[in-house]
Amino acid sequence: MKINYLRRAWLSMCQQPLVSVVSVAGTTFAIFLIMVVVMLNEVGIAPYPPESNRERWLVQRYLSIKYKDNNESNGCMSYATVKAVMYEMTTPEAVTAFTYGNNRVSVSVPGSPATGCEMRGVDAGFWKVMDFTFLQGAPFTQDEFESGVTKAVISESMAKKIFHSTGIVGRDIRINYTPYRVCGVVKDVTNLAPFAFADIWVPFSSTNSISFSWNDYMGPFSAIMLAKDKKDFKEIREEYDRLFAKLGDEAAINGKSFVSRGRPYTQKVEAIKAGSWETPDVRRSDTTLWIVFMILLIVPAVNLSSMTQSRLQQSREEIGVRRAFGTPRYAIAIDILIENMLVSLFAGAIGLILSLLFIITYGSWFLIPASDESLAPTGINIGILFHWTTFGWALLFCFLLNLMSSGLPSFQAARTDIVKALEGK
Amino acid sequence: MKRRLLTQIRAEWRSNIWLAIELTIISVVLFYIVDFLWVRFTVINEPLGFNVDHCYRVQFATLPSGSPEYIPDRTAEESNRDILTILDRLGARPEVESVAMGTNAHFYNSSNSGELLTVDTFNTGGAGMFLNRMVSPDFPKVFRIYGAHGESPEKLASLLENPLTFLISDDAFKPVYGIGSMREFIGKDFSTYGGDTIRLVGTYSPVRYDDYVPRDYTRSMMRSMPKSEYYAFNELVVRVHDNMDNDFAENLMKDADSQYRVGNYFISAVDSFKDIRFVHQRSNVMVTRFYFTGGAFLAMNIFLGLLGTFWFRTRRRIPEIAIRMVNGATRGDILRRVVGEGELILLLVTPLAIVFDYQIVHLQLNQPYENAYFDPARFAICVLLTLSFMALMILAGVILPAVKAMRLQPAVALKSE
Repeated sequence: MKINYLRRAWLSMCQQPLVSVVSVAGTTFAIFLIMVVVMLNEVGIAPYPPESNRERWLVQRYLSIKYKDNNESNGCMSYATVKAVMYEMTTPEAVTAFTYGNNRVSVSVPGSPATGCEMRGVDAGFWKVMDFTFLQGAPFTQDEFESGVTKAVISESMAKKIFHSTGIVGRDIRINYTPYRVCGVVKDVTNLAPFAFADIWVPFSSTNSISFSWNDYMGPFSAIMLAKDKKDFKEIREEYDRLFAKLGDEAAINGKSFVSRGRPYTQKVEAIKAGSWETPDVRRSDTTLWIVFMILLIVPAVNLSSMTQSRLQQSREEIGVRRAFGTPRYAIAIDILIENMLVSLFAGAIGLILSLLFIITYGSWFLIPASDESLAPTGINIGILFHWTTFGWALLFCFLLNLMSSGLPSFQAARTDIVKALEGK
Repeated sequence: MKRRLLTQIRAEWRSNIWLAIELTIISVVLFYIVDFLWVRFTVINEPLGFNVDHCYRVQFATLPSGSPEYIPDRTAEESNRDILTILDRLGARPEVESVAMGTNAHFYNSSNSGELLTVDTFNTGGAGMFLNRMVSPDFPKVFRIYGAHGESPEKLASLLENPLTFLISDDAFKPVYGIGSMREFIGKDFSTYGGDTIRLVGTYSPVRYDDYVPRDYTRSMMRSMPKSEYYAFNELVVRVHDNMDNDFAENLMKDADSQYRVGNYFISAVDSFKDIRFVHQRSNVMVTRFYFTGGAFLAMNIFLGLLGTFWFRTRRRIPEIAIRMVNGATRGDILRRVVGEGELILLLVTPLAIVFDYQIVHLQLNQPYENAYFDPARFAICVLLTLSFMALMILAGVILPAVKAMRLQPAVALKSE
């Protein structure tokens, strides 16, 4: 028997307008909130420019060293460590080292007061690993990086703030009273991108950070290894372990040893934001997230289930007639499930759209910029928020919600006794 | 009436069981949220002990060695003279009321310094971090910190002039020794962890770490450094006169090049404490918003669930309601009956919900306040608040079907019968 599910779902909704509105509102609200949580979580994991390669990279934000007396040092790496391990790697497509925390610097042009802005020291590999959009000019090259050239790449909004124009390639600026030449202007970067965000990027070889270190191995640098393919992660880790073991032999002479803590991390693990002294607990993080999802699913599911059951009570005669004409129980249950699924999908689509609009409008209420100091708006947009995986999550949650809210009522309705149902009992 | 309602609830157990499950789950999760928010707002409303209105942080740095203006081989003495010049020039600005320096000392700061002080058989350990604020004497004036016995910030500043003396928060020995005031220790010599001997010359009212860290983490000390070592400080803070902080940061940055480029020092940025406070606390604010949103989600679910279920229920009961009205039930009776049914289901699930609530507290899954996860008064308040809120939402959900039932015309309703 061919059933026009859409028509049935529509007619069923029209029969009980208020309850249908309540059901749709309940589903919409549940999917809305779940998708807000999903998208807020995805901001730290999913790729978006200029961190477009997140799925292919491994991150070494921190380094941990243990001493003979069991004390530890945890923090970023020195340039010596970067050179001995990161720059020696051959398996990745590209490797970059950069200052993890942005420096608050004074930037000025002659005749204008200085402006405080955020500067990141980077190497030439940074531009291969990240996906910046250059509006003018180009980044500095490897040779320029090695010679410590004082060139700077500047964001579009900072260029406008300082020069009132973006056509400023070749112009001179002073960063912390040191002359730099602008070599490129890039599209603004959201301050949600922890590794890419800054207002100005300069070769760290031109700053004091290159010589800043303690304990020989610790300093201001983090690194990212970009794999050609995700399949190369294992090989990259092996090379990474080999190089650290080699450096560890040298460190052991001075009574120091490296503590791995499972590094380097994929972006998903990195997004847990574990402290430098702790190993990220992926299981705990996932469990917490799923507990939140379950609460957000179970409460409306129980709610909707109660309403579905009440609605099916009113269709008992109809179910009785269908059963009397030979419709099997499973077909009745599947029909109810599909009918409800259509309503769930409709409400879920509204919920998804509302959640996107909500985060774009009020995202800054719930999103914390990766930069400690940044007061600028997050610059969140649909490109950052929406991915096909997001749509997949919305579909999955609609399906789960439908199964939880209509599963039992549809099963009970399918078991209806034909005689009692036709009697209207 | 209650007994008849119970019979009615029992008769519709199949649909009521769903409502009961929903209300139990919501009640437990809502209790957790209410308890969290209760602790949050209690902490936020505790006195801070300092004031950051009209205060600014002036970020200063030294020139990189690559700068053409960099002066190599600058001695510590010369650097100190440079920093004192900046301090004097800042203090001379007409807008500035007071100016001070410090190391990891200002409020809403993620960098801290700790200390372990010992006197006789007492020490400041054993109860979390004891903060050491190394500051210049005017620090209490900038943040308007008062003495434990009403001493003015100016008086505290004068007590801080001697680097061999220090001030301590009045609660320093309270958590471990139960000593409520440090007054009896004034004049005594304390030993620092590094082996220095310093004399306590005064006590001040406890100052909080920020708006979200409770007052049981306020134990601290303030100590000054010799004026010849000010170059070792890493913070510079100013208080501006109440009516003179319009565009203070912008004006100061305009003068940064001409007046505050001294030796190898320069000013890189000026931030208001309003912004510093916002940035420092935004993760806490965000978490609070999440909890509020969670509470709103649950409330909305109660409302929708009750509205949907009771809408069906009253429709199905039209003949029954009509018969009641014919037999003398007033419209008020009908309204009370429908509303009462919803509220009674809540009342019936409440004992079970309280058992779960207690488990949350017993397993210490909630937020501690004053080192306690369970406090009978707090527990009772949070349970009552949860129940009241749920009762209100039930009323909101049931009122529409109840009014509909109340307005029923018995003659019309019974015509088909």
